[in-house]
Parts: sequence; C-alpha cells; structure tokens
Amino acid sequence: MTRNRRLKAFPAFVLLNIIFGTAFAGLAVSAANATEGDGTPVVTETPVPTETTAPDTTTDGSTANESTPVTTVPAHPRATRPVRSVSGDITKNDDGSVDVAWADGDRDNTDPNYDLFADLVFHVSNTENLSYQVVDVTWVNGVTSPQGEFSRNYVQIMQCWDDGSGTAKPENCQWGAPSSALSSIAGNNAAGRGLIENEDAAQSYADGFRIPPPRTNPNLRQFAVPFVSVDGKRDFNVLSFFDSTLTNEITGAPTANDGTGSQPFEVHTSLEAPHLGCGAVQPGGAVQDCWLVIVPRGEYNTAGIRYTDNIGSRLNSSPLSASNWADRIEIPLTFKSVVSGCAIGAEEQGIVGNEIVGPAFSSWQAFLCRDSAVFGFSQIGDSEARRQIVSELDSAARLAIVSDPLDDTTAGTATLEYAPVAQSATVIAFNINYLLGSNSDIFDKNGTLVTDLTLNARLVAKMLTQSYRNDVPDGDNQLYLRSNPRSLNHDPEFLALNPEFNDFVGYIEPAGLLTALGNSDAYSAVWKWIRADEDALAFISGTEDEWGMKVNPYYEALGIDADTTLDSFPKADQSTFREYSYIPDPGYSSFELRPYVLDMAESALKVLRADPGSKIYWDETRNPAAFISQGAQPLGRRFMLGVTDFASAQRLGLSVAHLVNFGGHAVAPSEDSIAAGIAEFTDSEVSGVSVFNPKMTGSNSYPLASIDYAVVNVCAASDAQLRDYATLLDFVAGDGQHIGSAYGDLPDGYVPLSDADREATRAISKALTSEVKSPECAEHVTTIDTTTTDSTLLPPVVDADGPGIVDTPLVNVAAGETPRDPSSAAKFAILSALCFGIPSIAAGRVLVRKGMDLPT
Amino acid sequence: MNIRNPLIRRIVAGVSLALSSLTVFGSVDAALAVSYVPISGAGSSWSANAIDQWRRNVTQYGMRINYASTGSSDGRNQFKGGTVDYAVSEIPYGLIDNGRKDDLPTRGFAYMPIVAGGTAFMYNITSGGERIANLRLSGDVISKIFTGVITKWNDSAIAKDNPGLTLPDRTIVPVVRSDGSGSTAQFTLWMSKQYGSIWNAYCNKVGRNECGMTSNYPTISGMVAQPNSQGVSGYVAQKANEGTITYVEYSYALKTGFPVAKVLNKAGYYTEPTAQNVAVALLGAKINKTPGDNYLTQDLAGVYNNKDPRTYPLSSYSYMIVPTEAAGSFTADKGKTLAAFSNYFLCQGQNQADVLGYSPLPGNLVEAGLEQVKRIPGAEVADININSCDNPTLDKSYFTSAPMPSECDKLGASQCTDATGGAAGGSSGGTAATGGTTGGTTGTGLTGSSGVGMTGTMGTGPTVCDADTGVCSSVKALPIATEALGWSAMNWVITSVVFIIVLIIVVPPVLVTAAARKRR
Repeated sequence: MTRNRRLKAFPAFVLLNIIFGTAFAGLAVSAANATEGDGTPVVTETPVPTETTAPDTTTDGSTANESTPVTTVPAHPRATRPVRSVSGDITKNDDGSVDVAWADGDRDNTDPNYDLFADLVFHVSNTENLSYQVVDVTWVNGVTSPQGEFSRNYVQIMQCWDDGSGTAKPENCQWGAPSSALSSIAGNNAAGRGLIENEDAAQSYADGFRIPPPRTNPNLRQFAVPFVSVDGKRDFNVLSFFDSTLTNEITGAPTANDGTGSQPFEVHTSLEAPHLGCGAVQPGGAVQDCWLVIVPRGEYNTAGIRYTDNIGSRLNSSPLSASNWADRIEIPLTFKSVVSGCAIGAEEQGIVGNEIVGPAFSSWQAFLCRDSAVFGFSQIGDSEARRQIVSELDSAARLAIVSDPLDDTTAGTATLEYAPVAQSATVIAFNINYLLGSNSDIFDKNGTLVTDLTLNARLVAKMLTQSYRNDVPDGDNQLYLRSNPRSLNHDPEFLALNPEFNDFVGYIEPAGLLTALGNSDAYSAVWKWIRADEDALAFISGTEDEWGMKVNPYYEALGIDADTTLDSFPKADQSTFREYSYIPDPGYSSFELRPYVLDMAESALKVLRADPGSKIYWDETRNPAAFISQGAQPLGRRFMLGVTDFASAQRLGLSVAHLVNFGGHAVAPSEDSIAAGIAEFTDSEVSGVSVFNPKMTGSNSYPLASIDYAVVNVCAASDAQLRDYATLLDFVAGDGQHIGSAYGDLPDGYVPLSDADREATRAISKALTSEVKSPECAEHVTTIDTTTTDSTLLPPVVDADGPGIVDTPLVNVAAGETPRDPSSAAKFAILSALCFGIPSIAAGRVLVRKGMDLPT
Repeated sequence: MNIRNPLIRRIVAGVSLALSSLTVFGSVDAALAVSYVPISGAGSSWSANAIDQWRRNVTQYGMRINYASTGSSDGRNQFKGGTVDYAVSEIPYGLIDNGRKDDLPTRGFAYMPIVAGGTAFMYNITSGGERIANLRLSGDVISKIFTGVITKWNDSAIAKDNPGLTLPDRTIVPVVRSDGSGSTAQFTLWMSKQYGSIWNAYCNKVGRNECGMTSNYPTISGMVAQPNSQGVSGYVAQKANEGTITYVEYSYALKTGFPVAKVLNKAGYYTEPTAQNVAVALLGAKINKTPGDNYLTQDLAGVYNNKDPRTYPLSSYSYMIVPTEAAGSFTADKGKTLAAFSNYFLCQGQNQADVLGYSPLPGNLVEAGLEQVKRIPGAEVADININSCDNPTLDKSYFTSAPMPSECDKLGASQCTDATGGAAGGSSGGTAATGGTTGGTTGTGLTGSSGVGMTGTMGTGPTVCDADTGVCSSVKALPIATEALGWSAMNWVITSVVFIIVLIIVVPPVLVTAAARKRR
C-alpha cells in the first residue's frame, strides 16, 4: 500500500518548523515520527503468554511427575497408546488451501472410533495471512451424520491460540459457549468444556481441572478444562471472555450421505477475540499465530461406551477431554498483523450513504482515520441521503453515497458533482440443506448444503408478493391462493429451473424471502428488473402463469406493475390467523409470520443462522402472553433465502443465487458478471452518471449489479468538508479499489472501478481541492468576513515556491488535531501583504538611495 | 459550519498531545494503540437506528460492539439475567406495570442517557389518491385515537386540528406494539399524565386494574399490534394499510418515507419532532439528581408542558444501563470497551443524531452521562472529559438558532401545507430555491485543460440564492485543478496587479534618476 500522503505531509512539517522555529520543530518531528509508524503496523499491547499457563493445564494426566518438555506433545499415559504427534502432514496446494488426512497423524488403531475416522481427509480453503474472514472447511470419506441432532458422527471445529509449544492446547481454545439451541441437540458436555471425573482414562482430573467448589459445598467435585487467554488469564467461566454471540466455535457440522461435509468457519483476529490474540503484534514484533482445530466425533465415548448406551442415545464428553482431543486435526493459522484502531476522539466528518457501500466505507474509514481524515458514516436510504445533502440543516453532510442521481426538483440550484466510488450487487443469498427422499438419485447429497440455485424475475416476484401459500397467515385456507403452490420448491416453474429440488421431501419449505424495512435504490432496481421481464410483469399485473398461479390480490391492488417509484418491499397481505379460540383476536399477521429485518446485513446474518424470526407460536406462560419465535430452523432442515448485498453475503460465506437477466441468461454475481452488468447501464440525464438498466442482455451480465456515486453539494460544503471529501475521493480512486481484507481495502463482494471511473473520481477530488484554494462558489467567496477568525488562530503556511500555494500541514489526526486550512481571506491577506511588502522593501531602498542622488 | 468548538481548544489539545508524545517518545505506538474486547447488548428498538450507526463507526477505532434490538423490556431482563453487557431502555427499572414491579438487577448498575428523540405519530392516509402529509393532532385527539374514542379520520375533533384538510370517511386503525416496549411506556406515560381521564377510562374498559405507564399496550378490537419498531412502522408503511397510525421513533418515519403528525404543544403550535424541536423541548426535562438507583432518570412533565413554541411534547431520552461492578461475565476489559464506546457516542456520536432522526443530548446530560461512564469498571477515566467532547449542543447556539414554527403551524384557521417526516422529499426546500434558472457561463474554457471529461453540471452555471437575503447570484462553474495546482484566472489577476504595483513603485524613481543623470 502506498503512503503518498505521508510524502505530502513531510514537506509541510518542514515548513511548519521554519515558521515556528526550532523549539517547535522538535515537537513536529516527534509527531511525524508517531505517524510514520503507520507504515509498519501499530503494536497492540499483547502480553506474551506467561509460563503459568502451561504446567497444570496440559492434557497430560501426570504433569507434575513426568515433566514433559513443552515442545512435544505429552505422552499418553495409557500403555496401549504410543507417544505420538497428532495431526499428520499438511499438504499445501497452489491456491493456498491445505489438505490433511486424519490417518496420517499418529493414531491409535485400537480406538473403537478408528475405523470411523480412518479415511477422513480435511481441506481448509485458506490458512495463511488471514484477517477477519471466512474460511471453508470441507471433508470427504466421513460417516453420515444423523439428521437434526448431534448424537454421533459429526465434526467439531474451533480456533485456539498458539503458545509456541508446537501443538494446540485445549485450554487455549475458544470453545464452550454454544447457543442453547445447539447444545440442546448435542450430548452431555459435547458442546462444552465440562468433564466428568474419570470418564476419560487419558484425562487428568488434577486440581487444575477442578472447578473451585462453592463455599456452601466444599466437597463438590466438578471438573472442566479452564480457558487460558493469550495474556495468561485463566478462568473456568468462559463467559468473561466470549459468549454464544461472540464465539466462532462450530458445535457440530454434519457429514452428508456421500461422506462429505462443508462448514464455513469465521476466523477471528485479536479484534474479534482479544483473548486469542491472533494477528496481534507482540512486543518483539512477532505476530501471534493460532490453530484451527478439528475434532471428529464418532460413535464411542471416551470410555469406549457406544452412544446408544448413553441417556438420550447421544455421544457424551467434551472434545477437549484428552481422548477426544487426541483425535484432533490441528492446522496452523498465520495472520496478517492486526493494525489496531485509530485513537478515538478526533472530530468526525459526517457522510451519509446507502447500505450497499456500507461495508466498503467501514474499511475505508478505518484506514483514512490513521492520517487523513476521520469520517462518521450514517447509513440511510438513498432518497433520504439525496435530500440530506441539499437540506438547509447546518449539520447536514454535503457528501452522500447513492445509486441514482438527484432529480431536478430535489437538486434545485445546488452545484452537484458525482464521483463513482463502488461497484457491487444486490443478491439473493441462501442457506439450504439437501433433504431428499431416499429413492433420489442424488441421495448422496443428503444433508449437504445446496450450492446452486437459479431464480428468474417471476419467481422473485412471486416471493416478494406473498403469492405462495406458506407466506400468508393460514395461506392454505385463503381462497384467493388456492390455485397457488404452497411454497417456492413446490412451484413447477422453480422445479424446471432447479430440477434437483424435485427430489426434496415434500414437507420442507423456505421461510419466505427475507427483506429489510426501508427504502433504497437497490430495492427499486429489483422491482425494475421484475417489471422489465415480460412474464414477471404479466404476473404482478394479475395474469396467471402457465401453471395457473396468480399474484396475491393484495399486491395486485397496490398497482406495483405500474408504480415506478416503488423502492421498498411491501408486506401487503392483511390476513391474520389464530389456531385456537383462546388466542386473542386477530392472531398473527404477515408481520409476525414473515417479519422485516432491519437491513441487508441483518438479512444475511439471519440466512446464515437460518433464523427467519417468525413469531407465530402462542406462549401462554408469558406475561403478557405473546406470539414467540421457535428459533432457528433445525440443522439439516434449513431452507432460507434473503435479499442482501453481495459484500454481506461474501463476508458470511453464503451461497448466492443465479438470477436470470433480461436476455434470458442465468448469471451468478462475480467480479466479471457485475462489471459486465454495469457496462450495460444507461446514461442518465446527469453526464458521467450511469443508472441501472433492467434490460441487460449480455450472457454474463448480472442483472442486479449496482454502482454507487458520491455526490457532493460543492457550494454548500465548508472548506473543511471539501478538504475531507477530496481526501476521501482521492483515496477511493486509488488504494481504496484494491480488493482485500485489510483496512482500506475493498471487501470481497465489490468490484474495483474501471480506470476511467477512477480518473473521474480523482478529477472530482481535484476539483474540490481547487474549490478550497481558489473558490468559485458564491458561498465560499462571500465567507471571507466570517472566517477571518480562523486566520488569527491558525498560522498559515506559505509555500516558498511562490504565491498561490498556501497550505497547512496534514496533522496526524490520531494525535487529536483535525487538519484545517486557513480561510481564503487569510490567503489573500498574506498574498497581498507579500505582494506589497517584498517589492516595497526593495523599492524603499532604491528610493532612499536614489533620493540621496537626486539633485537638491 | 462544522467547527463547533473553539479552535483554540483544539490547538491547545494538539500541542499538549504532541508534548505528551514527546515525553513517551519510544512507546508512542503502544500508547496510541488501544485494544478493546468485544461486548454485546440488547434492548430498545426506539434507539436502534442510532446505536447501529455508532457501533459501525467505532469499528475504525478497533471496537467490536454487538447490539440486538429486541425491545426495552427484553433488554432490561437480559441485563438482569447477566446475558448482556449492557442494555438500552427508554424506562428505568423499578416501575410498576400492570400491577407488577419490574425488580432491580442485583448487580450494580447505572443509567446513562444516550440519545434524545421524539416519539412520532407516523400515519398513512390518502385523500382523492393524494397522500396526506401535513396532518396535525392535539394531545387529547391522539389519546382518543389510541383509546378507541375517535374511530374515523373525518371526526370533527380531527377536523378542528386540520382546518386546511378534508379527511376521508375512513376507519382509524391504531397500530401498537405487541412486545414489551419502551416506546409504549413513553407514550402511555404521556397519556396517563396529560390525559389521565381518557387513559384511565380506557384502562378500566380493557380490564387493567392498574392504570398509568405500561410497556405492554392493552389492545381492543380495531387495533393492530405488531412486534418491534420495524413491525409497527413497516405495517403503517404498507400502501394498502390506509387509515393506520402508530407511535414510533421519528427515524423510522424517515427510513420508510412516511409523514408524521405535527403535535400541538402548550404554546399553541403544532410541531414536528425534528432534532431541534426535541432539543428545545427537553430543556424542560427534570433530571433526577438524587444519588441512588434512579439517578439521572427523567421527569418529563416539564417537557409535556414546555411553553416554548418549538417544543415537541413527546420528546424523551433513551438510556443505556451499564454495570458499575465487574461481576459475572462482565470484566474490567469489557468495561474499558463499554466506557470508550459510551464516551464516543456521548460526544462525537451525537453529531449523527439529527441526520438519523434523533436529537443530540443537551450538554448537562452529556456531562452527567460522562460521570456515569467513569463508574464503569475499567473505564479509562483520564480520557473522559467534557472539554474534549465534540457534542453539537454544547454550543448554545444550537438552541437559539432552532427555527421558530411558522405562523401557519399555529392553532387556528390556517394550516401549513409542507410535508413532514420521511414524506418531506418533494416540497421541502422549494420555497427558497425557486430563483432564476438563467445565467451562468458555459464551462468550455475551464474544462479545456483537463482530459478527464468532467460532468456537464460543472459548466451549466447554476444559480444560487442566499437564504437570508434572498439575493440570487450566478455561480461560475468549478475550475479543474491541473498539475500546476490551480493557477487560476484569479492568480493571474493577482500577479498582474502585483506586477503593476511594482512597476508603479519602482519605475518613477528609476525614471527620475535617469532623467537627473541625463540632466547632469
């Protein structure tokens, strides 16, 4: 990453020194040194792991007397098991992924689980230079998991910090804070850290594993593997470090009928999990490494007891218990050094914008705050954002990031500049398990995740208009829906596009299509795409499809076929339903059956968690009694779809649907297809701004591609705003278009701007800078009188090169100063002083001398 | 415009920071790099739009803040149960609701005001195909609508509030919250204090023995109950749901693009819950300053009855409930993060309030809030200082510059026609910006030097009118910075002036000398 801003700042510091003399120079240089550190990562305070963590918490049963060296794996006390190193060779592939075969590790072939694990091979998509991101863990040759519960034959995954001992330690792992929904479908302690005394002959039950008994019962003998954080804090209560909302542990991932499994795993850095510290820079400059630990679970407990002999017929015991731990695969993870956040406290320059640009802006602002400008981003709807920048409110932002330009009425007489900033897409993300009838030809896929799904405009329209029976309260008994299929996967049109769903069991169905509350240009584009499609338009106008399905009449009444202003997702069906007469009238409505999510990011999260949030179960025990949610869909029976932004879907590793464009091509969002889609955008009335084209025909044009523009109300912006906006746009046109996961990078799910677009943005940046230096707006010229106070307080710096270049140094924002320019009034005052003064000095001398020469 | 704090303060701060960085020279990086641990909270959906923005913005400071907008009642319960690190609620613990007391948590806690806002009445009515967007309502009419006394939009009482409107003969559908909600608590508190007889009569009718404030709205037939702020605002925002009205934080009306009713205040004006109207109204709030469990809780009687014509009567604060002791899963490390986050939103974060449809907290509450932040275990107390707090209301002009309501907003025979809330799009700003559209120069001369095709708007020369004087002037297009760093026409003018001055000064004596020499 270039640091050209630093180059600009440095001469400015030198200039400052000249003005303020040597005393100040020392200060300035020290400040410059402080910012210089940005080139190398800022050190996060992360104490080295202390020795105290090691002794009494190893997996070894007899730590004290055997004094095992820390660099090797502790010997197993059971005589039948050899001393071994655990994991096996790690094969690195060219794409950065790794493969590990379970049997390559030093395994005990007398273990009753041995045959169940023997052929397992794990694949991890990415293990080096990680940041906060999702990696895919997949495996083959496993034994099929049972459906809906973790009773046997599943896989557990966790992240642990590396203490330099060469192997992962159970006490260093982020594990044991499952959600109640998950722990309820796993066996006793299987999702936790708890141990039962002597259940595992390999496990120590020494004092280090005994939970301190309560004063009321000093004889209580409860055991667990404590958590030890990277900075040496040791606690049996993991909640002081992480809880079910913060952990990344995978309580269980199922293996499908064909023996394969797949599980996205969210890798945590020291920012998400400071107690693991992965990626934190240690005092010596080394970056903290971590482990990815996979523990396969078979059919036998630690004591060799088969799961069927346990209460509930489920496999018991924690994966951290020594015998289970010995079955682990451990894969070293290396991290990019985590650059800590900016110092808090600098004044923020407010920016408003739509949600599509949100994830990119989060990344940009975290980089820009280091040495350029601190921004505060407010995510609001496009139309609200457009209104905001031309509002008369003093505190209003003058830069908004939106898709469509302002119309003439809104723009009024404002001087507006448009700069392209980000390309991405609206997507339909999904999380669907194959749930197949046993006579299916693809039965091998049962339990795995569906990765391909194709939707056309009419299918999306059907979901958005509550036209499937299961999207309407008591939909099966609503006469107006009686000729409609129960749900998407029962619709012949969908089945024709996605034939695999013919093999699904009949009772599985999606929980609608998640949509967010609010207005946005992205939602407007969805409707434009639907209206542009002949079949979809006919459908929402009330025409039956080929199979006799009709639009929900509540939506027909809305006139959405002709409403070009529609930029939200209505929930228009007014039906309500109560199953029993003791439930008060009217029962639940569409808003409880298919509730809105807050925004697209939440939509993606709910798809990932398979939690539609439907509150349709009446709970009499509540005070007052209320409809409640039954939580996430059970594992193996997930069928979720949601409208979200591509970046949110990518961050969570969600699969996204192919959408059929106007030309009839089913296209998935990708860098190429989004760029191809945007290439088909049409020119708007505002030159340089292209707008969504619902009639894309390219064979690889993704129909819901989007491009966002930063629009600046130039004359209404203050000098400070213009300067910050120029900085932002200059960065966005350059390094801000690099795809990556570091601060300042465009996150996955965006497409870098074309060179022409970058040039356009850079030009706007320059124009804004120029407006500060030599204002053209009436507002900026007439502010001379009111801003002279600035010049009395902030000494301007005149460039030695000559008049016209007046600048203030870019001060390190992290040091608490926000850069401000002297006003143009000050510039002119100094300029004219110089213009008059310097010649006058010369002229005065000449005059005096010549005057003496004059004849008296 | 953006500089609200005296510049001098910032310079002093900058110099002292530079000094301190000098003293710790070698360890500068470590001192700047503060590490935080992730924290989680739950509660109010009334405040959720503001909290979501703040937590996104502090990711640049290395913080990971989680928040679930599950409703105030749920937030308070979760905090009590120790499953979240903080809760957000519009009402405190200890209140009696439907005969049941909401017990205090056993762990130490404090209330900290986080953001102000107006509980708005968002509605959906059309007349002759046109959306009505300038509805006005007085308090007793609102109370009667939400208690089933007034059931038709063309009721004479509503007509009295709206002399300029002809409202349709349509049934009013009040939309209320189905979950335990702080918005419901604020609204019912207001009704019980201001329109007690109407509210009590309703309470008795629905069979509640204890009247007064409640978090769970008692419904009757004809009302619609929906979960969460998204639920009620989403319901009203359905085109088909005509005739509906709900109470929800103003930001949700902005978000969905729907109007809100202007509410009659004690000065006889109908006002909208804009940031400034809420801020002015809350100058009348009495804050409990008695140390104890209710420290900093609000008594809003002075807000409801504030005589300032700008007052929006249903203005209130929302609170964060923070732990004051490290217990259970709440550690000093979490406290450090929570304190830094709180410090952020009490200061910088308040600048976003009005953009989002909230109102910045007034200075005295920010100050009191910062004192509460210091009580969070692990708080970096030295960083918490009202003097370095960038909050817009610390500048008194925030209140004095708040615009007075128009005469047409006064109780009486006239009625403003401008649209409110999220529906304000088309008509706002139309009054001042209708100046001439002619004038302006074409931009060819200016764009010539740069090859990067600037947008056409640059050259069209828009006309800008001064809002104060009404004087309109033609604005020349923006110049383009070339590689030479903007050596513009103005620079040429200055240079030539300088050159001429130099000539005027230097030439005469030279000439005189030359002449003298010649003469000699």
